[in-house]
Amino acid sequence: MARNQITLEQYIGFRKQKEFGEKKKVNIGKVISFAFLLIFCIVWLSPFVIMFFGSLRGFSDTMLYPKELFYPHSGYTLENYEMLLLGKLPEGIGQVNSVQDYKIGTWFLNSCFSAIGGTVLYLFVASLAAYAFTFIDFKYRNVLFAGIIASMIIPGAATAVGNQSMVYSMGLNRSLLALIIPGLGGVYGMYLIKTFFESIPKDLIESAKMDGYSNFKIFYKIVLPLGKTVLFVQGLFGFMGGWNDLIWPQMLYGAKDNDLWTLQVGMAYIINNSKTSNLIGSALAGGVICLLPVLVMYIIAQDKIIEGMSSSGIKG
Amino acid sequence: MAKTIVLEEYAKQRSKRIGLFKKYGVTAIFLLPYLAAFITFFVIPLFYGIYISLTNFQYGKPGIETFNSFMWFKMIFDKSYMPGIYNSFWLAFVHTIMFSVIMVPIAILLPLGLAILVNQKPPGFKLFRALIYMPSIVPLTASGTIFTLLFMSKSQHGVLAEFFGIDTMWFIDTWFSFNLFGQPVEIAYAWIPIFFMCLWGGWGGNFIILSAGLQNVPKHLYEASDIDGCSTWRKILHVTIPGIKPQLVLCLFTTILGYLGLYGQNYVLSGGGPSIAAIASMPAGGKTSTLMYFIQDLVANNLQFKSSLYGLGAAASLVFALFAGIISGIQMYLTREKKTGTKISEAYNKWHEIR
Amino acid sequence: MANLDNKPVDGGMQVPAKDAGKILKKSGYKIANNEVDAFVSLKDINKIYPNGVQAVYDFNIDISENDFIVLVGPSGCGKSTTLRMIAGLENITSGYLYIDKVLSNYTSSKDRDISMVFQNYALYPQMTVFDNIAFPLRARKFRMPMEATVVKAYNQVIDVLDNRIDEFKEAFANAKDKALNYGTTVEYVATKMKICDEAAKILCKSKAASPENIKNTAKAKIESEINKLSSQGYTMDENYRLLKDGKLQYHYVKMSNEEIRRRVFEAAEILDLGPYLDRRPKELSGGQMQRVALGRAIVRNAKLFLMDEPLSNLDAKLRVQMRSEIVRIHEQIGATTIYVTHDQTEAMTMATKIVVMSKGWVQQIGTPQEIYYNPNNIFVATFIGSPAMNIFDAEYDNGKLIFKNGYEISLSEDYIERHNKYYEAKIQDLRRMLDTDDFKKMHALKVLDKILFNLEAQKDAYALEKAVDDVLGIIEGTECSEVVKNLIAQYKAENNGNPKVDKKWLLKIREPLLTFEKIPSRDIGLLHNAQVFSKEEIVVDDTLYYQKPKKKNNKKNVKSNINLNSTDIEFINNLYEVASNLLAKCEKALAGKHPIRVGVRPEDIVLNSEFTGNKTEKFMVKSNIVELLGSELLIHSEFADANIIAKISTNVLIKPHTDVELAMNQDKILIFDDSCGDRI
Repeated sequence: MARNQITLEQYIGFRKQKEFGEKKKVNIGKVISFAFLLIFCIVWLSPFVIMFFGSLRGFSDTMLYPKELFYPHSGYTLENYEMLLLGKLPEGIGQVNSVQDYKIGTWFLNSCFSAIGGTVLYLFVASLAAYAFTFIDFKYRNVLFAGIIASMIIPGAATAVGNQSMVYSMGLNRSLLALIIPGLGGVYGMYLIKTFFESIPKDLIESAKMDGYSNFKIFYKIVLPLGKTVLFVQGLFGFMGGWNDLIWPQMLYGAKDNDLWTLQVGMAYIINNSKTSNLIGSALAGGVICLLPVLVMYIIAQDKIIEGMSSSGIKG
Repeated sequence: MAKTIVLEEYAKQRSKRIGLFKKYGVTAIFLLPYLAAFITFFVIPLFYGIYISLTNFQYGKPGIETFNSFMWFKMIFDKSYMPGIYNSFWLAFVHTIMFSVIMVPIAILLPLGLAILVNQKPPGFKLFRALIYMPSIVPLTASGTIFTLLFMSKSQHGVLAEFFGIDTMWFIDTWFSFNLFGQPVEIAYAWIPIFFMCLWGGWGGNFIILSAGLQNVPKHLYEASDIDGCSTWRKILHVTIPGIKPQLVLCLFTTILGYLGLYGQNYVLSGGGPSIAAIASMPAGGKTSTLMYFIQDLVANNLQFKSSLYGLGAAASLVFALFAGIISGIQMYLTREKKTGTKISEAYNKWHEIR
Repeated sequence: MANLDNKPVDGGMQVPAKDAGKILKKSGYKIANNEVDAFVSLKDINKIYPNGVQAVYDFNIDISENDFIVLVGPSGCGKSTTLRMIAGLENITSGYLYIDKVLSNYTSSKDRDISMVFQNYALYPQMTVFDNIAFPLRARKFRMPMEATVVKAYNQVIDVLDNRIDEFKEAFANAKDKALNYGTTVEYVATKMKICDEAAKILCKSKAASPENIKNTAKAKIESEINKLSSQGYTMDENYRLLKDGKLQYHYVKMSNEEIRRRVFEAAEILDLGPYLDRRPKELSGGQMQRVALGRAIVRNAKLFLMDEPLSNLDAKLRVQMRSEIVRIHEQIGATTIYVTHDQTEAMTMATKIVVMSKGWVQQIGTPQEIYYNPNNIFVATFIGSPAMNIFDAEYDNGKLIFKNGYEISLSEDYIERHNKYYEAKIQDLRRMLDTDDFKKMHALKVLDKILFNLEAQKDAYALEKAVDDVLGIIEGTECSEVVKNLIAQYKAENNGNPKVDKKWLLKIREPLLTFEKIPSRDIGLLHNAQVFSKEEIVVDDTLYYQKPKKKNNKKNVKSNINLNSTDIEFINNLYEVASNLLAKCEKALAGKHPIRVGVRPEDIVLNSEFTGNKTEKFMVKSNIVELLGSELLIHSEFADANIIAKISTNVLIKPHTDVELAMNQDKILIFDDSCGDRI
């Protein structure tokens, strides 16, 4: 049995403290903030609940018993998911013309490809560049870096149209690669990685060089392991950014090519088609599918994400 | 006779050669992938976009375009040139600005208030922090489904209509209208769902950043101000606010830029509509259009516009970018290191002399 | 703010309980104690943190005005906590704190009239140096005599116009000359002409163009103001101060800019900060920031200065410089100062009185000389002084000190007598201690816990019952023996006399035993030193503080809500045991040969050939390292199984690795008790 080991003096301290009545004051600020936050969180999280239960509600229930949000009249059903994923239309839904276009599986995979592939590739490219900007001394290094940083003032909108045509000219307009590659030139992530690399003591790198490590080895053996956390956090943000992006995939594949759509583009299309009570359930189901990966990731790595966000605010 | 060279000299030259290669070779390998991507997908498109905006470029048919003497920019800035496009662009502009003006203060003050509450460290504050941030990771489309469900009309059994009996046609009716520079501006009810969607998930990052900022305000400053005899109000004014000023400025400007680029929420919820009869056939001719929506309509969503007005999209995005760039410029100007003068020390010198 | 006006009531007054609240309210919750004659007085101050660690035990000190008190001790000794309690940043668990005779336990720090310099300066980063120093002046209202400012200003205007108009014109032109802005012009004129800001403002605005007009308006204004004041019942003395019924009237006002500027400039002058007044803290060096922090503290003329390790963030050279600076400022201002540091050099050089602390206990209070030459115990002896005192393990045998290598020193009669007296007193004290109820309970607890925590292993029920009886025997005669006796009787009755010892029951017996919190702090202190400073039980040192259970959630598990009566807690020491061990040792010491520790300051180990005073027998050592410190030599060598350092003058040059003949200054040898570290 692991017991708390204390000294007698400490015990006497405890007792005396009780005797002197120096109890922890009930902090009113804490109580108020707790109560308020509790209410706030309940209100703010209710949409999640509505979405989840809404997706488990059959379409006829949605139409006939719309007030039964959480306990559908005829019980929970997966028919919305079946409709989306398998194209199986429930009986009695009537004329639904566009459901067959839903290729949610393909879109999901496209999104995965875009988010994961883009993130991994970007981390690789950006950390290489960040290493060069931090640890390799070359001519015009600072000028180059300052130029790249200065470009952050130009918003993405300025380059988007040009990019769209660039990608077309490169013949990538019907390729999923177009989702990924243009993102590789992103500045902000590289900048954050570089700021972290700067905090690695230079002596460490220099002593490794003395020991005969090449730059690649240093990068691989020392810098990457040390920068693990920042890369991880960057990866998380990259993934979320890629997964949630709507504008760029839409620009690329627009109103056609629904084989190449990402989940976001597809979902926007689904919502547009589902603004009626009989189909809203399927949209909600789509929403759940769309949300699930990021939500799971958030729940797993919540502290890291928040930490990364905080530090970017403190440093940036 | 063969050329001779002192061996030592040769070694020196050789090492120089190899050193150069080693240095720049390695640098190139590390830097090249990123730099190539940066140039190909940032620098070139920037100029390509400018080029497109100055020509009658047609999407998918590069190479046949010619200079069109600023036609696209005339459409945007010259009222008489093409009144429909002029109107729809500037209406979108007005919408964007108005929505930002309403949304930005909320998206700063609400998270600030919550951050202050969380910073009281009530039991479970870490959980609260995580939960409060959670809506902000939700993809637009996923939250779009929820707000669609909430705001569907009565005939479609929307949640608000069913539970609170509000039978507004949220995505169709006009709320009110007013005149701006002689132009009627109609505000649609559809802005309300958009507003709530932004209110729900549009400031989580600010919240996290501000609460980190609050935590970073040094404790000893509060203690010092205690001893100096400060009231709570003075403490907030002289310790807390200056302490989180960098975070406040950062949040303010990222939020402004974010809402200037508002697109997803109105696209998903209202599709830019309800449309305005007079400019219904124009890009973004709806009551919930925004600048980004205008651009996106031209270059992505509408195939007809894409083929005929592609250059206008490029021009509009440049105008937008310039606008946004000016705002980031202001931010940089505000956050620059301010130099202090010598006023007080001069006054001190005089005082000292007099003594 | 109104309550600042109230006179404090006498805290010693006997009042009816129901009126107490009213009386306190009337006095603005200010209580004075006129029996306290020191300026700052701490009486039995204790601080216990929520995790049960007592950071400060029974701190008692009287500080008279203009003292420079230094609290010194290793980190974690409670010195900063004490300071923060005086500052009001930390609650006082028990005890009384009087500042200027006013009981200050419950007043907030801003009402204590103190100023403080923090370790990390705590400067407001967004403000200039000027604003930083001015901040305490702007933050609060000050009690000032009421003045007829308008009358004063216009009278000064008239005076200037009548007599010094040329001087004003010159000053005005000079101020313009430097192209300073408007505000500074007024301020410059005001300073130059020694008139108030308002008067300067009026003058500058009119540029003294038409003196007669101004004078006329001024006269009219003065008259109307005087009429207004007299209708309110005020009269005015020659300094424009307002009197009512012949008494000066005071009010709480914000300090005027003029006054603030004057005070900040004066502080800047003292601290040599003039050229930096416009800078922000970021643009200053560490020493400058420190000076700004000092400036902020001195500008308010607070009665009491607190400094929390103000020099620890500076580099060595700057530290020495700032040290003398602080001493100089203290001399110049004369404010009572309490200064916390872990650096004994600072303590020795700055203090008028040093308080040496260790683990929450005040080990010694005294002037630097006292502390250096007559340390109370081995801790103080080794902590103060650099290089540290040489400590030898030796044996005491009837007036002789026998070192490990056989070297002998015979002590004078005087010493022997002192030795015996010391041990006799100690034995008496310990016997008294062991005889108290609380110690008996602790003893019983130890016996009981031994059964309790080995219950599974013990199968012999009769043996257990016998042990319980032992417990009863130990506490025979104490106030809880009845309770325990009843418990046992009750239990036996329930079980019809069958011996069956179970845990629940033992815990029930344990409960009344766990009530020994009334042990006087003095006794705990004595035993504490015995645990910490004795050589054998040095291990206890590390475990004296709360040890977290080695489980995953041990981050901040030092909670205040440990169930004190549960079996969750295990006592890792037992004061009864400590006391009885100590008693045994003392008895042995009195009987004859016993270990002892001998301390000799480095400068009291002397060259045999040089020293002519009363010295011990010479001995030879081999010098290992010789450090030349300018006028002195430090010789590191080994003697009697200990590393010794001797500090000698450089008259004789000694080389490393040579044999040196040394001796000790017989008069300066200190002897410490081996078991509790006290000086004999």
